[in-house]
Amino acid sequence: MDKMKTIAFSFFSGSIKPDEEVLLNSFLSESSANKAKLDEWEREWVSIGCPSEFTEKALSRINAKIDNKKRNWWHYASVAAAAILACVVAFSIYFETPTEVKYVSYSTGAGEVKRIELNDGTLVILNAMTTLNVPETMEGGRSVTLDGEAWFEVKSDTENPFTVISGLQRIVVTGTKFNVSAYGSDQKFITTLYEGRVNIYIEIDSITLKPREMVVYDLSNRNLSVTSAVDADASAWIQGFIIYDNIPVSDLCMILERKFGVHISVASDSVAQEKVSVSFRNGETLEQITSVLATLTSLTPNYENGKIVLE
Amino acid sequence: MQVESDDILFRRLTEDNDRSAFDALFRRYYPRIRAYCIRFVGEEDADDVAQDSFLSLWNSIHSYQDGAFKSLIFTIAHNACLNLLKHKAIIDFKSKDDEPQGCEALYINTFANDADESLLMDELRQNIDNVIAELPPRTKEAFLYSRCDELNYSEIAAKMSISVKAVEKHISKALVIMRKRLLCK
Repeated sequence: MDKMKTIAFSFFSGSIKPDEEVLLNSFLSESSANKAKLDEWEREWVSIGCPSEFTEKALSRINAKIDNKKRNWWHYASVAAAAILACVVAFSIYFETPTEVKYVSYSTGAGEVKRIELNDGTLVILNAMTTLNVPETMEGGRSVTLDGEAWFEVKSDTENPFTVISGLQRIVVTGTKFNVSAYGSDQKFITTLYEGRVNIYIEIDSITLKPREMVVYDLSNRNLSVTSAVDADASAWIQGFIIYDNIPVSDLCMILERKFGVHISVASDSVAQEKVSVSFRNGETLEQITSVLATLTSLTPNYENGKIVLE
Repeated sequence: MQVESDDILFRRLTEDNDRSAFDALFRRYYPRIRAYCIRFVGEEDADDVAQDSFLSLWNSIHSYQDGAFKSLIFTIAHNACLNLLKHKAIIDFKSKDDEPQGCEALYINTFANDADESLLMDELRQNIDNVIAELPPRTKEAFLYSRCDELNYSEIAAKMSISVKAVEKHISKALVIMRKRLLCK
């Protein structure tokens, strides 16, 4: 994917990073042909509907403010005409379209796993330290936002696709089972598909996943990569298991912190990046897991101030 | 999706008060205007400043018969940011030293008609420097001791050989003058 085009798109959608701004500005100043290219990309971005996570809510707010002023005028006008008043007010309430969708929020704390059944019959299981926002009614669209990790069993409805939004990542399905790991504080979002078909959109990129496939969205370089998910480990957390194959020690520390609510870290950066494979299926305590981790990394655990440091 | 040009949408907006044209222009430019505002007034205030800019354009749409939507909304947002920063600078003089990251020129080059338009922080600094330079000498001295050197009122009183009450008077005088000169334009 053309790197400069991707940067241009994030400029239009308001999510460009400061260093990328510098790059884009140099690109523009290089030649007038580049300026023409930018205009072309802008037209393309506009033609796909100006996608941006910042717009819709802001637009509803602004429309509500404008309408408030209009409504007052109608109100004063109708007060003057007594009989017509009731009809006018009734009409404007009947035709008034709601400008804001109300969301219900579900959250979990450290080590918490929560099962939720949504209005449309979809089952969601939230992992620890996760927040899910769901619209009060799904008729206007089944679009939820997720910060954290969750397992979804989406009730099939071909007319009304189900969308899971995490920052710039949008997952669209009509009816399937999949796991999403999209913690706002993580550098990588991982989506694993079990059944059905899933379309994942990130800015101008999109990918269609097939069952038993997994996509990793790397936020640092906006890269998408697909691999096959060999075992159903991605959802092992639902049963309280900790099963990970070949993950960096620092990632495992983050997972343990979310599960147990205790800050764990490794003193050495090089060890933090080493990869380990673990399988804890017997309700092991944090002490037991820490001691296994210590053995794997040849370090000693130090418990102080409610934190664990392996050095 | 069919792409209508800014000019067509803007004409529908000014001639027919067309809401759908407003919505389309909002979708097109709000993300960038918001990002521009974040650079100067921070995330918390940016949404309000950006939205108020669009709202103020809608409310006074009849004053803008000709001109390009793009440079209009940018100018409104630029001035709104400048105004907010001036308010903040009066309360907390130090904040003018916070340099935003990124590249302000990118927005000026793509939004403004006149690419020589000055950078916001430069404009702000110039405005503030001008007003301070014109403060009466003793008032200026007391004000700079307070905001630049961060001395408390007793320390300033000692340095200037005056009473703490006199220092208080100088500071409030400085603030009144700054408020008047910076905000009433």
